[in-house]
Amino acid sequence: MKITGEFSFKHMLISYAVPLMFIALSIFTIPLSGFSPEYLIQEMIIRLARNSFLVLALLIPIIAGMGLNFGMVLGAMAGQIGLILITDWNIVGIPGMALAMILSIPLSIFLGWIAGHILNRAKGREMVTSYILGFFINGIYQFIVLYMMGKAIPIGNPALVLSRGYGIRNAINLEGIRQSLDNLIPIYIGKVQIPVATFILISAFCFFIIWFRKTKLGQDMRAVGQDMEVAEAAGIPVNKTRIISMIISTVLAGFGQIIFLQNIGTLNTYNSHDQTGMYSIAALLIGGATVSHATIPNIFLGVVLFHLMFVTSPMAGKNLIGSAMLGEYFRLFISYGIIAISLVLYAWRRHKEKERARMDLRGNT
Amino acid sequence: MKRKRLIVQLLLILALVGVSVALFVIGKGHQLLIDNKRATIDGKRVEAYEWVNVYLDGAKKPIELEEDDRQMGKVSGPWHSIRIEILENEKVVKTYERRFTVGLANSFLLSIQKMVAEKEDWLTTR
Amino acid sequence: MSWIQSFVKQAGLPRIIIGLFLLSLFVAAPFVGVSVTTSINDVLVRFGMNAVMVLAMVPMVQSGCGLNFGLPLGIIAGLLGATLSLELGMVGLWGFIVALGLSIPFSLVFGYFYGQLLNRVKGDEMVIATYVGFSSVAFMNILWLVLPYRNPTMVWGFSGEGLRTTISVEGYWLTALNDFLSFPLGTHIKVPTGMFLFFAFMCFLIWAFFHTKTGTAMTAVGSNPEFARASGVNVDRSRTQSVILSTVLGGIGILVYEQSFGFIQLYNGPFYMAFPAVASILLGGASVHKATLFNVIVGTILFQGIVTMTPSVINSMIQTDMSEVIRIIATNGMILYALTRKSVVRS
Repeated sequence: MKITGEFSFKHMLISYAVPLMFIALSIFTIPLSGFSPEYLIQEMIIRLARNSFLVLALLIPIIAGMGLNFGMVLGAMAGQIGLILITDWNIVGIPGMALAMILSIPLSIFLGWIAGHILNRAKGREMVTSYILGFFINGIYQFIVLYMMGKAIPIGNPALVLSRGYGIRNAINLEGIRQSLDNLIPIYIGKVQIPVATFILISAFCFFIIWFRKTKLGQDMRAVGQDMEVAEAAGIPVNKTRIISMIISTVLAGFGQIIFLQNIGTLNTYNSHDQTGMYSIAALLIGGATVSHATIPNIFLGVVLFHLMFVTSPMAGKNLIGSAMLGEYFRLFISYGIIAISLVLYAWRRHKEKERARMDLRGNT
Repeated sequence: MKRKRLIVQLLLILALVGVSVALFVIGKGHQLLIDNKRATIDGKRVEAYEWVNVYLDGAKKPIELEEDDRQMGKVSGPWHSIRIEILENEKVVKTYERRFTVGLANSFLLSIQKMVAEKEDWLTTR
Repeated sequence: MSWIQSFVKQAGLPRIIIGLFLLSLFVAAPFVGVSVTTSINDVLVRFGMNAVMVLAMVPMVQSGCGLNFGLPLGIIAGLLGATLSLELGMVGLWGFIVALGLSIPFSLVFGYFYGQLLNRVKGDEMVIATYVGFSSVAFMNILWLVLPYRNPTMVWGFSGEGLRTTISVEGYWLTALNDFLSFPLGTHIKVPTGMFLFFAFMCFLIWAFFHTKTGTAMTAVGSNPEFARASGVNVDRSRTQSVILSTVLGGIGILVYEQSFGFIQLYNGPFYMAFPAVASILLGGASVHKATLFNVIVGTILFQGIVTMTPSVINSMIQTDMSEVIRIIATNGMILYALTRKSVVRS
């Protein structure tokens, strides 16, 4: 819903409140942390390459009006299962990574389809539902990976399996594909290394999203996102479109998680995906996106700002108060708080608009 | 119209499967356990070399093997080349190179002695 | 056939399925070496421990604020009461009561601001509640570290600064409520009468409250806000009251839980504590708009039953420890089920 009417300075301030707050915060924490500019620039470039794809996956559901896809963790889990498989089969390098991505696709499609169906039955409550769905599927993922793999699902490589004979180990070394995408085309500017291939992949998908918005399916999704009833009346299959948006998002999340993990080099079988949804959503919101509107610049701005805070606050906490633990907690608080604030601002604006519309209808001044 | 979509989807899936198989083969990692050990070839005893430098796939840094030594090299994919330099008293006395293919197994045993003698069983699965 | 049909329709098929499942677990228990009497005891004790927190869901559901995913806010108030009572060295039942008393002012303040926030975001309460809950837990993490507590059993040994993650209440008011008027049953079971009496008392208070003018107004606001407003009820104030009540109950609930459990869990302990309570009340038949005391009791028993019995029976059956995973799947599955029920859209 576009906000028509006043274009006051106050209005602008509210729209960009969140990124501005973060810039202010960073101005405070960066010098406190004591990190050098080169270090920070290198870190930001690495993190941009590592995380942007995941945040990209969030765009499509927002366009389709499904809100913030807390269920993107489903895609992350599919991607991780792909990685477990290629590690078991000992496939290395770019082919290994690509194969993991391809393997994740059918699983992502299945999970995305389930998610879409469930969210269709919870219209109006998509965000809470996708949040709980994430936990639920996490339980099933754990059941499969911790209990079935090694027993019902044969795992050839004994290094992957826990000592009790079944269940995957907590941490899997991904040395086969470690940094394989990042180092594909290494370019240095001064002392800073730039993972060019990764950025090429990210840009490719940015173009994909831009193209997608122009296709019929993309337009359909926007229509559904703006007003489901009007879209229905116009003949758009609303439920099916919503399901497709979830499927695309889940598949992209799977790819994104694989890109993320190839950079880190280790798969924490039971933890790596936990924070994926939270951090990606926080980053998107920090970049100025809202529950109903997100653009590509939001993604990159958000990732940089979020990770600046992420990297600097523990050290800043340590230097300011003497406890790094405090900085960690502070960082956690900011991550959750920012989502809370963004959600509140968004809901508040929506609420104000509804009230204003109602007032207009009543003919009040 | 519906049939055309179905056929296109089926072709797409087949293409994906084909690509996956290709990726699997090209990306398969292999361990090469390279032996510089004495061997019995055609009934005769062939001794281990004093020192061998092994260059896999045109590597710059060689894998170095002493007498009676075994070292591990890692490669990926099916097609490879190997070049060795046999040293005595720190001077290269003989070189040998060839190309070879590996199957889909995880690790292989490579006997330098058998390879130089061009025996068929120079490369075996472990 | 028709009375079976109407019973099924009233009770809800999923509830009956879960009830039957629970029954089957109890039946299977002795065959796999799980003691039925101990299990019943466990379920009853856990019922008592959790019931008040489930009760905390009722006010907000009735007033239309949805499920209180922000329960951690009330829990934090309770934690503050608990830690303060320990800091003051209060023991026994009196210590428990002091903890209760200390937590209430905090609950009132937290609940008030929380309610004000929710009033401004009508329609999106649940998601925001979740993140408000998380943010406050994260914020309290910082506070637990810096607040000037001195009691040696509570603070870290070496540095002496900052509270420990888990604090034992042994020696203070461990099972203080449980032991009140308790009696042994057989060799294994010690009936925690105090806890049940307390819960019954709370139920009575809530029942009475909802029959007062304020209480009925609250229910009216939840079922039809326009009508309530037209009747002269201040909708926002009613909603805030429900949030405060819910938060207070949350604080009381965690204290009841802790005195039986034996430990105060700080830092990230309260993080996910809203979810079992939400699952319980949904399991009891409540929807996002309506919840009764019956829902609370039935739901808590069913939920705690499943969560206790499934792991122990299945673990004994297949000789593995799957309790955590089963708990995750069961809890969240039930919430998902409730969230996907078609609801009547209010004007």
